[in-house]
Amino acid sequence: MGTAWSTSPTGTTGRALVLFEEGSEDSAAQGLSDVLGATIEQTDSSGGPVSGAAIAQCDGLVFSDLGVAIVAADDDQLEALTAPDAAVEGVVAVEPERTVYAQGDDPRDVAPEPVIRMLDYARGMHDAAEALMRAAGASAPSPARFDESQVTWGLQAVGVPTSPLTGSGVALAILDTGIDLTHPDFDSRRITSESFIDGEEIQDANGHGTHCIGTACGPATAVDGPRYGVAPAAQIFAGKVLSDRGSGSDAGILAGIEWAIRSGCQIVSMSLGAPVSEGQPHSQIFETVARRALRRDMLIVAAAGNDSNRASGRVAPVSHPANCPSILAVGAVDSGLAIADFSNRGDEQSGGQLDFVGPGVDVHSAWPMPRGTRRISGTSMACPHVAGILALFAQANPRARSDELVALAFKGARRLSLASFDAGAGLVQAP
Amino acid sequence: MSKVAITVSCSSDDATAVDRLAGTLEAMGTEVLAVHESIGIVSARAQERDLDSIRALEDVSAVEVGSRFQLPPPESDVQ
Repeated sequence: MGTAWSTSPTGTTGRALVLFEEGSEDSAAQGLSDVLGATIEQTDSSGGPVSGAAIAQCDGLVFSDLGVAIVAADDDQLEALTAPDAAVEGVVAVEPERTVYAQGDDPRDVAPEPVIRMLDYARGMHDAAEALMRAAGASAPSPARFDESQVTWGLQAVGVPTSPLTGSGVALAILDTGIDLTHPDFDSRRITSESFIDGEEIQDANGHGTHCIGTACGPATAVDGPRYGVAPAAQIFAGKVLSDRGSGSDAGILAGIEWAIRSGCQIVSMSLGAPVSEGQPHSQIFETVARRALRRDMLIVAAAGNDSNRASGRVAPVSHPANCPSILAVGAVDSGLAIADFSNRGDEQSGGQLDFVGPGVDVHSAWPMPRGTRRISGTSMACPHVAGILALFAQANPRARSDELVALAFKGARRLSLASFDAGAGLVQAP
Repeated sequence: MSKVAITVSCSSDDATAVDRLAGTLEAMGTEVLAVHESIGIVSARAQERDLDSIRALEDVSAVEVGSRFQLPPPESDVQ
């Protein structure tokens, strides 16, 4: 059973994708209707997902949250859309809609579940928008310089200081080495915890878990040093699935995932992974579990892995379990917004695409006392940035399903001058 | 022959089916470690020679030998 998607080398549907400038989506539907003489539908972000029938049968459909439309139009009409005096404002680019098939499966047999179809479709539409932007010559913003006296560079890079959101009301689970319950930065927080490591309590004697929880959920004002937490009011669920020596197993992680589901968590952050070889298929079991979690409106985010050494020419594929299509894989960038030397790369052939990047080099966050804080690097550090941002999206959109939250995060991501197999949709941004 | 840690995915995440699968595995001599009804998973230890038989069970959609995860040492700069 495969869920990775691939394109047929000659497959186009006869329809076209139209990319609009951000903010012009509302006028797009009317403009397209005027030019094409057809009924143009428009998705409503407050309503349910567009149906497969509507996608297949429409003459025109504007995906409001993506800034992309699908239209049935002849060549003359498409040319009119991109002419200098085009009657439709805000058109950036136009390209043919591609036919895609599930990789390795007979297209007559495989019908991806609706929620997964939307997750993959959101990815696909974003990839299409990305390609159109490149074709249009859109340039990526230049990296900024950061002053960390008040807020870490990572929080600045993902737009946290200017967001009014805190993650309030959102349950976020971090499956890792636990947490230092004595840390003063978490004194006022209610922490729900569980250890899945035989013979060990939740108390973190390693540090990795405390650092990741700090990034995802740390306080708005730290006892010492700059703010380092994305979602300071999120409900913390700390699950110990890695021992104090940093080791764990599939069994412990799966137990942690089930606990998070039963606890009502909306997001699970897993800064852990096992290396895979090039072309190695993803775990069918973790993919199935992730789909079941999605059906229960729980998103799983995992670190892409640090097995690469790009300076020496070695780039490794996204690790297990982040390489599962239904798990969001997060790579790392540095403060110059360049891909981190160690950050693994997406491999779409095996379904292990990379979805986002987050700040992952020289990241300041909590550490077990008495040290209190520490700066370390890794896709482990990028992952909780993304998880925390998703918690902000969840707070801002309390009725949104998991696939809708992902679509919002895709749309809002900051595009970087990096290939999608290294950066996915780009650098996640706070709403 | 030593046992290996395995994860067994039930073809359904219905609690009854998952419990039934766990019972079947135990009857086969498999050491069931945990039953996760919410996600349709049974964690177990089994002889390698039994894996094909487990895969062939009606309620089973997949069997995988468990992965191990290992973080770098806490003093590492990259984690």
